[in-house]
Amino acid sequence: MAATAKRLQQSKRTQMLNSIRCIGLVSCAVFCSQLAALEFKANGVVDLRLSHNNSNTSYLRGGYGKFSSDSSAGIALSQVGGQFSAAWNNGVSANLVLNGYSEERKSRAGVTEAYVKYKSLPSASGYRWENRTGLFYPHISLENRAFAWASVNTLNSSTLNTWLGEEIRLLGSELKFPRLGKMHADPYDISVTTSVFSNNDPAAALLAWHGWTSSNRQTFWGQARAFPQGPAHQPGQILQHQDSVSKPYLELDDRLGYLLQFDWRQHRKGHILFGYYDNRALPFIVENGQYGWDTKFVYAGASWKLAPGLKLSSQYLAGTSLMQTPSGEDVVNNRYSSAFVALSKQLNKHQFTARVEEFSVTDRDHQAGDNNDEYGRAATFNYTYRLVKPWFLSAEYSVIKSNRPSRQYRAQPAKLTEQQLQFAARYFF
Amino acid sequence: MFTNLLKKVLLISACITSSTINGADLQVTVLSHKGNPLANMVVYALPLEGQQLAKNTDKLVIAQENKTFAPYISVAQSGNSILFSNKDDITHHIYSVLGENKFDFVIRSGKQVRQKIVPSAAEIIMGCNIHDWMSGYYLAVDTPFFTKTDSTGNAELKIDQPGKYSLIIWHPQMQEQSDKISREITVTGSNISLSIALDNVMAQIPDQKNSDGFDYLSTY
Repeated sequence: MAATAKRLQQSKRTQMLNSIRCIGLVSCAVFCSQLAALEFKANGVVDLRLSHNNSNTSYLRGGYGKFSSDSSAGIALSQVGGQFSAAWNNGVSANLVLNGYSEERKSRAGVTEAYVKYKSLPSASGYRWENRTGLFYPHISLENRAFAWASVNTLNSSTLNTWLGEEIRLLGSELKFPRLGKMHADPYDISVTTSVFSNNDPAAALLAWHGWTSSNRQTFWGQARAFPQGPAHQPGQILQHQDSVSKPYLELDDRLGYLLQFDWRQHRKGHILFGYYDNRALPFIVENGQYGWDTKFVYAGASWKLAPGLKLSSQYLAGTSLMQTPSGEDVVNNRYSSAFVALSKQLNKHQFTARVEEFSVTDRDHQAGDNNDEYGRAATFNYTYRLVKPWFLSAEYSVIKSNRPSRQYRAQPAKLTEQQLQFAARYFF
Repeated sequence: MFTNLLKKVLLISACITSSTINGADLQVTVLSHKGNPLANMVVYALPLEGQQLAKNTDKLVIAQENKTFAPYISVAQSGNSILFSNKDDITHHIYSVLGENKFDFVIRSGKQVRQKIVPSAAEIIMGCNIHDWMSGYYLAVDTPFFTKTDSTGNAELKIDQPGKYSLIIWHPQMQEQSDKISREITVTGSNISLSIALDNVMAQIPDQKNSDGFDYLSTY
C-alpha cells in the first residue's frame, strides 16, 4: 500500500515537474519573442558650464540665493541626463530618466522619471488614448522639452518651471485623450489629460521658505533639500517640529491628488494649454518633521510662431498652499504666482532668446518669524550657436531683482539684485 | 492677362464638350482657380469601353525620409503592394485606420516592410503614431495610365489603346464639389493638350515636419 502511494506521489511529482518545465519553456519562448520585438533607445544631454555669479548662498545649499551657485566663478558638469526606453511594437514602452550633476562641492545622480507608457492607434475619427503610469512630470513646462527635461532655449529655466522641477512630480497614472485634426481636415489637435497621483504632499514647502528660484537643477526621486531656517524654525517656536530639509515626494495622508489639463496645438503655429493641479493633501498631518501642504494651482501656457524663426512663448501659474499645526492652526498660508514671456529668434545657426519674468509670494498667515512674502522680476538673455548638429554653445546673462523681507533674518538686505553669467557647451545624443 | 484668358477659354472648351483627341500622347495641365500651375496632382485615365490594357506592375516604394512620407502622394494600379522603406535613423509606426485597408506596423531605421493592399481599395490615408505631423496618401487606380503633374503643372499620359476614357484629376487637398474632377475624352490617334483648372482654392497641405525645429525633443 505504502509503496503504491509512494509511486503515485512520485508520478504526480514527475507530472508537476513536467508541467513546470512546459510552462517554463513556453514563458521563455514568449519572453524571447517579446525581447526580439523590443527596441531599446538611449538619449540624453551633457551640459558643461562656466559661470560667474553675484549672488547669495544658493538655495541649493539652504540659502536665499536664487541661482544654482553663489558668488564664485566655477566650471561644472551642470547636467548629465539620460532617458532610456524599451518599446514594444504594440505601443507599450518602459521609460527611465536619470539626471545627475557634478560641481566643485559634490556630485549627485538620481531618478527623475520612471514610467510605463501606452499609446493606442488613432480611431478612424482621429481619437486616441495614451496612458503613463509611474513617476513622471506633468506636461506643463513649455521650456523643458528636450531630453531629460533639459530646457530648449535657455540655460536657466524660468522661476515657474524651476519650481516644477523642484517640487512637482506625479507618482500615479495619467490618461490623455487626443483628437487628431488631420482626420477631420482641421488644422489643430486638441487633447484632454487627467492624472491621479500620490507622493506630492509637501509640495510648495521649499517655495514658501526659499521663494522663487532659477536654475536647471531638478530634484531626484526621494531627494531632500535644505532651506533657510528662520526664527520660527528655532526650538520652542511654531515650526520647531519641521525637519531642516524638505522631502517633496512623500505620501503623508493616503489621499490622491489630481491634475486636469487641456491642450490645443495649432499645426505650424503653436500650442496653448490650461490646467489645474491639486495635491489634496491634509494640511495638518506631520510625520517625521514633514508636513502635508494643501497645494493647488492653475496654470496656462502658450507658444506661438510669429514669423519664420520667431517664436513667442509665455507661461503663467498661480496658486495657494496651506500648512497647519495638528490642531488646525494656520502655520503657512501662502498665495503665489509666477509668469514669464520669452521671445526667441533663430537665424541659421544662431539663436537669440530674451525672457522677462515676474513672481510673487503673499504670506497670508500671521505667524511671527516666518515671513514668506516675496516680489521679484527677472530677465534672461541667451545667445546659442549650433556648432555642429548635436553641439550647442551658449552664453547667458540673468538678473533677478527681488524684495524678500525674510533675508533680514540672516542680516541680508530685503531688496537684492542677483546676477549670473554663464557659458555652456551642451551636447545632445 | 492674355494667358489667363486663353487658359479660361481652354478650360471652358474642355468643360462644355467631351473632347475628341486625335493622338495617343495626352498632355494635361492642371491649374489652380487663379490659373497658377499645380504640382503633384494625380492625373489618370479610366477606360470606359472595356479596352484591354496591359497591367502596370511598377513597384511602388513609399519612403519615410526626414520624418515625412516621400512622396506625400503615391499612385499605383490596384492590386499592387506597397514597399515601405524607412530611410530615417529613427523608428516609425505607420498606420492606416480608415476604409477597407486598415494596417499598422512598426518600421525600424533602415528597414523595409511590404504591405499588401486590398485590390478594391481606392484611397489610403497614412500616418505615423510616433510623429503626428506625418501624413501621406496612396491612391489605387483601375488603369495603367496614371501620373502626377510636375512643378509646371504638366502631366503626360501615353495612352496606347484608342477609345473613350474618363480623365480624372485628384488631390487630397482639393475642395471641389466632388472629390475628383473628371472629363470624358476620346483617344483616336494623335497628340493633344488639355488644360483643367480647379473651381475652388486648395486646402493647405499639412506641414510635413515638426514645427519646433529642435531635434532633441522628448517625445514622452
